Amino acid sequence: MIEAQLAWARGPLFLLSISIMILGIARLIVLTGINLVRAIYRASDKKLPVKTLIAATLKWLFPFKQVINQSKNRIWYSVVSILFHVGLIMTPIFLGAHILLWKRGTGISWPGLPNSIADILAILTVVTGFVLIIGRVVNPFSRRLSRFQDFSLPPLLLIPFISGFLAMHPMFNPLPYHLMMLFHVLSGDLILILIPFTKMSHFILLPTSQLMSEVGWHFPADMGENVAITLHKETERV
Amino acid sequence: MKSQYSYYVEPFELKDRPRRFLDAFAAIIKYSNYGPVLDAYSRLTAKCSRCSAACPIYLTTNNIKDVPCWRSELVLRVYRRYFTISGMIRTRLWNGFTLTDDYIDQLAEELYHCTACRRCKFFCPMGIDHGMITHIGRWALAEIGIVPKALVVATREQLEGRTHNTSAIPLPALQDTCEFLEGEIMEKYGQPVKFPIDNAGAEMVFFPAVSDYLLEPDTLMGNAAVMHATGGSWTIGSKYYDGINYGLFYSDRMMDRIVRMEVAEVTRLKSKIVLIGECGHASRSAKVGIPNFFGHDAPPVINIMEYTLKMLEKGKLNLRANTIKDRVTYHDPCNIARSGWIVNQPREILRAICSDFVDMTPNGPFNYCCGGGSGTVSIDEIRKWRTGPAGKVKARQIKETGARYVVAPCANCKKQLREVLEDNGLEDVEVVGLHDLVIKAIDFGTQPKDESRSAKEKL
Ligand code: SF4
Ligand code: SF4
Repeated sequence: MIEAQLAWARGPLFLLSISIMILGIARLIVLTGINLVRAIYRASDKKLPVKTLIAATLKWLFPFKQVINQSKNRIWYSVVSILFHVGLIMTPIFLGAHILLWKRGTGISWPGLPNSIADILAILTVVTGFVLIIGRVVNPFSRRLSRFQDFSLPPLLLIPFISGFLAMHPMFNPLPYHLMMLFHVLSGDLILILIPFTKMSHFILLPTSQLMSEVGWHFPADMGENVAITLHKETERV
Repeated sequence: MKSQYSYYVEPFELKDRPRRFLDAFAAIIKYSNYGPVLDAYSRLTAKCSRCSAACPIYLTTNNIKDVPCWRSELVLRVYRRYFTISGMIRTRLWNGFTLTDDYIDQLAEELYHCTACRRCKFFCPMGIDHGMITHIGRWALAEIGIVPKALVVATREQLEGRTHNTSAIPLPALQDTCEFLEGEIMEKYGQPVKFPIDNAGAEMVFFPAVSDYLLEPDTLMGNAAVMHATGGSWTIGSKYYDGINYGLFYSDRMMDRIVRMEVAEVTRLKSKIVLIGECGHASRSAKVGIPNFFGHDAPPVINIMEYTLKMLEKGKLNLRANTIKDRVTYHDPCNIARSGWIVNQPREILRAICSDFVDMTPNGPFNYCCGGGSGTVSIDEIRKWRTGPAGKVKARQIKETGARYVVAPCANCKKQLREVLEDNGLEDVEVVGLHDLVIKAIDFGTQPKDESRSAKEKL
């Protein structure tokens, strides 16, 4: 029974989820691209400080130095967050068992991590994930700023890590293997579906955010006039 | 005058405010390039509160309302609800957020508790520019009539008044002032320095913050003296002579109209370059606004500190080293320092003339705002807020340098810093402009330089 559900979850449901994710991300990339190109096309001042933008973008994609330089700004939280992201990205992609699945399904494969390292990464992700959740709940500002998804996504992200780890280590596993795997796959599927619709999409948008911010300050020449016309204010006094 | 906000507002239409606010917001998003930015931001915010420690106001108040991301969320929430598909779906599914009159009042209050200094942008891992969000939100508010009275009254005089400048200085008074300043320089330095008015064909047209003619004679004398000593080809325009642009603080529509007047004056005088005085926001609004609203035909914009340093480097300006013996520090106006545009120029000039120059920490692009940014300095009724929550960090920074002079090139920063120092018990420190000190150090040579030339002109 559970085996059938598991087969369904990692078969059709997985296909559906990953398709939704890919389509959602593709839509986001296309929209962002169109938006950026259109904005630059409309702007009359097209000169962008390219070098500064690239530097700023790289700085925040690999934010190690930033964190240390800005030590006042929640340094522990930031360090933990970086570690969390490393585990979060590396483990699912480079886990041997996952690569095997890809190879079976698509014929494509790539070198994986030894299981012991994958284990360490998984534990790292779970531990840092918990610290992040605590950091968010304990810090009064972060807590009050946070929306539903800010609280709910981190725990959701941890489920596949915990269940995957337990499934691979029978001696710690309190549940039958297949049931644990079912949790693992279902939560994984759910995450894939949510990626394009929640703040998890930042992994696509973040590389564009510095450019976006710059482009906002480059206006179409007739912007003021058009706003005035739309609001019927062409002749209104200041 | 009583106001529902901490600043005075002229009476505005109360009917249907949420709908009209959204109409304005929609128009702004449609015709500007802010739409995609808001869209990206509304997806990106991580709510990590790292930005809080970047904001000088937050550092003083420790209030969640002063966390940059909290304030920005006020605007992003409106965007998400009314301008994204998921926001509309969400409202269908369960009772989501609705824009109410109270919410607009909250926006009106909170968006003027940020000085749009953009410091926090450097500290946000997601690269969110809260200054821009404040900027957009204020514009939408302005379109439904919610603008600090101080800003709108000045802009009205500038755009539609008789004098066409924010301080309402009529041309004859300006001419008198210039003559008076020429006399002053003659008396103090023995130099026939001119303030040329309507000298058509001059290379640069000069737009200082017009309030300098009333409040900062020393800065203007310094500006003119540098021009004189370096043989700069410049002029003041009689039709338009104000660099101030409050549009930058509340409405891009106004910013547009104001920079058009600057360019028109440059064209009328057949000049090539827009020369802005020391003022920070005047420089940024011209530097950003002119190429944006004019594209290819835009005249270049330079700040007078750039000019002075260039002349110094070329050897056309001789400054006497160690003229200023007291300790001097420099305040970076956000509008010219944050982008890295003008950071080193004034420092090099100061190092050339001061024997004891010290920097504040942090400085340059990472400086703290004086606390009067984004036009709040002109709103006298919020002085307590400006010199308290907004200005405390700056006061501490200045105190730590132990300086006798704070050089603050911007007209707004100067007014604000004087009040900050006064309200924080630092009356001994004096706020001056950069060229106030430069003029003391200029080596005009033994012969007044212009004699031969002015003699020729007379012939
Ligand atoms: S640092 Fe950026 S993402 Fe974090 S709370 Fe501030 S604005 Fe939001
Ligand atoms: S722009 Fe300046 S004043 Fe506004 S929130 Fe950011 S740091 Fe604070």
